[in-house]
Amino acid sequence: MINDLKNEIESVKDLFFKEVRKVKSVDKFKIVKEQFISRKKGFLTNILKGLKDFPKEDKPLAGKLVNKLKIQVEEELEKLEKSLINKKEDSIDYSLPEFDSPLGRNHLLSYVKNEVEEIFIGMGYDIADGPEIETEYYNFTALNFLEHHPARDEQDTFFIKNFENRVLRTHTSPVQVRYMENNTPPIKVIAPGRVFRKDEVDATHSPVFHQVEGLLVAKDINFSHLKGTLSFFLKSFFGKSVDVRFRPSFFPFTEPSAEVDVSCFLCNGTDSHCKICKGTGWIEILGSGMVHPEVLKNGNIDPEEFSGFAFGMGIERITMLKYGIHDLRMFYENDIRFLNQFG
Amino acid sequence: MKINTKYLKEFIKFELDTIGLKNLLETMGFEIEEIVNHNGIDVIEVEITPNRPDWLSHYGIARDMYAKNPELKLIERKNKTQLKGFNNDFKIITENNDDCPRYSGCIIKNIKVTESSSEIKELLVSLGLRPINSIVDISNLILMTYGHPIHIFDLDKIKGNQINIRRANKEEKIKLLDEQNIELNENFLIIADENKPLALAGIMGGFDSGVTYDTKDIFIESAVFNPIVVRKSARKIGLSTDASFRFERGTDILCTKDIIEKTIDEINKSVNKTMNVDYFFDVFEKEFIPQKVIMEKTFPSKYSGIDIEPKESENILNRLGFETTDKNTYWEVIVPSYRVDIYGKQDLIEEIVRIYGYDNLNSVLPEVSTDKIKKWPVRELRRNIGQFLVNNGAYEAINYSFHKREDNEIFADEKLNIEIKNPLGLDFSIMRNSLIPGVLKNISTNINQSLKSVFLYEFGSIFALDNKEILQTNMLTIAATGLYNKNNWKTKDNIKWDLFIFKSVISKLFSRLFINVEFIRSDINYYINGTEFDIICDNIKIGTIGILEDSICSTYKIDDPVFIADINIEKVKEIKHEFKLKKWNVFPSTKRDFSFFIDKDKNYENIKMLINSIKPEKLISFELFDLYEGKGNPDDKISLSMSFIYQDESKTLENNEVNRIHDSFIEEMIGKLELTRR
Repeated sequence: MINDLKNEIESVKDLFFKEVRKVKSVDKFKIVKEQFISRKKGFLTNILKGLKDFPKEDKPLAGKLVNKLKIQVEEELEKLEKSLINKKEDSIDYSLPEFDSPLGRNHLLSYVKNEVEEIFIGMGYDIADGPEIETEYYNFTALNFLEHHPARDEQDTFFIKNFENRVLRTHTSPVQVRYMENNTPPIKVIAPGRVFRKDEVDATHSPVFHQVEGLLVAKDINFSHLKGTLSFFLKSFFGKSVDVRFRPSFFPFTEPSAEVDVSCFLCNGTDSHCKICKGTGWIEILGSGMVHPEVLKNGNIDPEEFSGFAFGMGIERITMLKYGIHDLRMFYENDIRFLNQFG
Repeated sequence: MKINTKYLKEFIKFELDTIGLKNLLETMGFEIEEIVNHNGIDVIEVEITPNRPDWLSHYGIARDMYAKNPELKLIERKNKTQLKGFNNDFKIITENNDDCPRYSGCIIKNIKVTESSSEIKELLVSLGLRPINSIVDISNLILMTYGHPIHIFDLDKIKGNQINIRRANKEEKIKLLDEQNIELNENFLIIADENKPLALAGIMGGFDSGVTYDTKDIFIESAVFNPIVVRKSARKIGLSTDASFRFERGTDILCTKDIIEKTIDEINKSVNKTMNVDYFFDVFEKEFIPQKVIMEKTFPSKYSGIDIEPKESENILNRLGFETTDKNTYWEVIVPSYRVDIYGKQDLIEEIVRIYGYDNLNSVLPEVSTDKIKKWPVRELRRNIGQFLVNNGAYEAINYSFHKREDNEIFADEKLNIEIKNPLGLDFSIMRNSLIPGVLKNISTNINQSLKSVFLYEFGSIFALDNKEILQTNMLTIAATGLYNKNNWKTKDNIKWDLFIFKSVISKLFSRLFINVEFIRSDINYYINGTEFDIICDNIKIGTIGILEDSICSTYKIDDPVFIADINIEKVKEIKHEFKLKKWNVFPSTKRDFSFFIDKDKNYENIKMLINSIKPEKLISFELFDLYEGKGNPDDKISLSMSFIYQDESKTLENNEVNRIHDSFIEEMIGKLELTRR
C-alpha cells in the first residue's frame, strides 16, 4: 500500500512540474495552483484525504511522504508567483524600433568582377594581372597589331609623356602574352583589370573602364571549345535561358575571330523599340577568337603544337546590361544612393 | 560604308528583303550600324573591320555574298574598253617602286563636263557623297562600285607632259581640293608635273588640277600606293578620305588597268561620243607574287572542331576566289590579289568557317586541367578587407586614375608625376599619385546630397616616378567624415567620427587580418599637425592615418574633419600570418591598477614605449582606463589610470609575488617618466 502511495506521489510530482513549466501568466498560475492544492479537490488534498485509510503503523511514513511533496509544491508555487509578479513590474515595450547600424556596400563593379571570377574559378582558371601602364610592345606589337595598320586606330590610346613607347593599356589582352611568357601550356587564365581609351566622358563612354580577359591554350583546342566555354559562361552569368550567337569579326590577335551576342533578356526580340537590343533581339557582349599563331609565338608557344582561344569583355558593359544601368558615369560618381543598391 | 540595296542588285541577284539581307551580311561578318530609307531605297550602313578593304565596295560585297550563298548569281560587267599600251611623248616617272608599286595612267581628250544624270546623283547622295560634276562623280561612282580609288586631273593643268610620283621637297606646298594649304616635306608622297605638286598621293587631289566644267582633256590615275606612306601622311595632316581609308588598308594591285577601262566605259555612257583615248601607260615594274598558303586537308576539321569534308572546304575557298592545288595530303592555296588579309592557314580557316556558318559549329566545353597552384593573395586580402569595411558601414568607391596637377601636388613633388602626353583635358592630365583626392571628391558629392555621414574606401593603383621608371602601387584608402553613429531614442546623442573611433576601426581591420599594427607618431604634411601616424607592422611602414589638413578639405568643399587611412596593399600582402594552434594559458591572471599624474606635454605614446621597454616578463598586457584633466589636478598635470595584467605560464602567481613585481615595475616607471602617484 505504501508503494502505491509512493507511485502516486511520483506521478503527481511529475505532472506538477510539467504543468509549472508551461505557466507564463498569472491566470494560468491560478489554474495550476487550484489544480494541485485546492482545499476541495486538489490532487494533494485528495492524497491527504486518502491517508485516513492507511493502517496505523504505515501512517507516520505516509504522512511524511505526502508532506514532503506538499512542501515542494508550495515552495515551487511561491517561487513561480514571485517571478510572475516581478516580471510584470520589469516589462518594457520590446516593439520599440531597433537602431540603425551603419552598413556599407561593395561597389557594383567589384561585385560583378567577383561574379565573373567565380564562374571561371569554378572551371579551373587562374587569375592574373599586368601593369596598367604598358609598353607598346605588349599592348600592340605582341598582339599582332602591325605598327602602321589602321587596326591601331580602333583603340584610341593615351601615351605617357617622357616615356617612349609607353601607353595606358587599351585592353587587358597584354596579360595574355605576359602570362604565356611565364607559364607553359596547358594554360587557363582570366585577367580582370582596368583599361583606358581616349574617349570623352558621356553616358556610354568612359576613358577608364574595366575588362576581363580570358585565355586557354592546350593541345587540340578548337573553335568549338571557344563556343562551349563562352556559352557556358554567358548562361551562368545572364541566366540559363539566354541564347548565344557567334558572328565573324576581326581582332588582330585572334584568327578566326568572333563577336558574341546573347539574346535580349529584356524583350527577347519582341519589342522593335527595345532600349537594350533596339529590336534586333541580340545584344553584343564580347569579342573572342582562336589565338593568332603570331601571338602564341610571341608568348614562346609553338603554334604547331598548341592552339588556344581568347576572349575579352567589358565589365561595365555586362554590368549595365544585367543590372539595368543606363549611364556609365554612375559607376564613377560614387553617389551612395547608387552604391547602396548593389554589392 | 553605305550599301544602296538597289544598286547592290546590279551586281548580285537576290530575293531577300532588307532584313533578310541584313541577317545574311551579319553572318558573313558585317557589323550593321543602321538601316535608313533614302527616297524609297533602303541603305544599310555597315562597319567594316580593318582587315577587309575588299568589302569597301558594292561589287566586293556582292562577290562575298556569292561565296556565302552560291545560289545567288554574281553579275560581272564586261569592259567595253580594252586598253593597250599607247604611247606618245607623255611620261609617267615613278621615283620609288616601294612608294608606288603600280601606276596606271590614261589620257582622254575632247570630253564635255556636265552635270551627272539624276540617277547617278541620287545614288551618290544615298551613299553620303556630294555630286560635283559628271567626271568627278564618275570617279566617286567607280570608288563606291569597285572600291579602288582613282583620281582624275585636268590635263591642261599638268605642265611639261609628265607625271612624277615622288617625295615632296621641304619648300613645296599644295592647296588641296578642300582648299586646305599643306606645307610639304620628304615624308609626303606626291603626284607632280615637271615643277609643282598636283596631288597628295592616295589622299586628295590638288585644288588647281581638279576637273571643272571648263575641262576638255583629262588624265586618269589608277594606282597603288604604299599603305604606310599614305597612312603617315594622312595622319600628319589629320585627314581621312575615302581614298586614304582604302589605301591604308590595302588595295588590289592587279585591278588598276581594269579600273581605268571601267572608268572609260562610264564616261562613254554619260558624256559624249567625241572623246578619244590618247594615251595609256602602266608602270608596274616589280613582279607581283601572290600569297601562297600550305594547308593540310585535315586542318579545317581539326581547328574548327567539326567534320568538314575536304571537298567542301575546297569549294568554299574556290568560291572566295582562292586557287587550290591538290597535293595529296595538303593544298597549295593561292590567295587572290584583293585579299590582302590572308597570310596563313588560320586565316583560311576563318574563311571556311565564316562561309560554313559559325552557327553550324559545335559547342563543347574543353576538358583541360592545369597543375598550376592557384593563390591570389591580393584577391583574398581585398575580399576580407572589403567584407570588414562594408560590415562596419563603409561603401566602396571606384574613381578614375587621372588627376589634375593640383590633386597630385598635395602628395609629392611634381617631378615625380607620370603625365599623359595626350590627355582629355587638364583635369585628366596626370596619373594619380594618391587615392585621397578621389575619395574626397566622392565625399563632397555625397555631402551635397545632404548626407550627414560618409564612410568610403577605394582599392586602386597609384603611379609615381621611381628611379626613372614608372612605379605602380596597389593602395587602399579609407576615409570617414561626419557622423559615426546617429542618435536614436535610447542613445540621445549623435556620435561624430573622431580620430579615436577611426583608429579603433582601422586597428580592428588589421586584427581581422591577423596583422599586429602600431600607430607611431609621424610628420606628414597633408595631415593636421599632431594627428598623423604611421601604421607600422614589424618595423615596416604599411600606411598612414590622420586627420586631413583643413585647407585640403576646403579645396574639395568639405567642412567637417576628414579621417584618412592610406594603406599600401603591396606591403600588407607581404605580411604572413601562420595559423597554428597555440596553447593558451590556463593559470589565473591578476590585475593591478595604478593612477598617477603626469605632465600634460608627455604623450601616451611615450608612456607606452617606456612600458614596452621595461615591462617585466609576467606583465602580459596593460591598458589605459581613465583620463582626467582639470579640477583637483596639480597645474600642467593630467591624471591617468592604468591597469596591468600579470600572469605566469606555468603556475598560479601568488599575491605577494605579483605585488613585488608590480611595485618594482611601478617604481621604475615613476622614476623614468617623472610621475606622481595619485
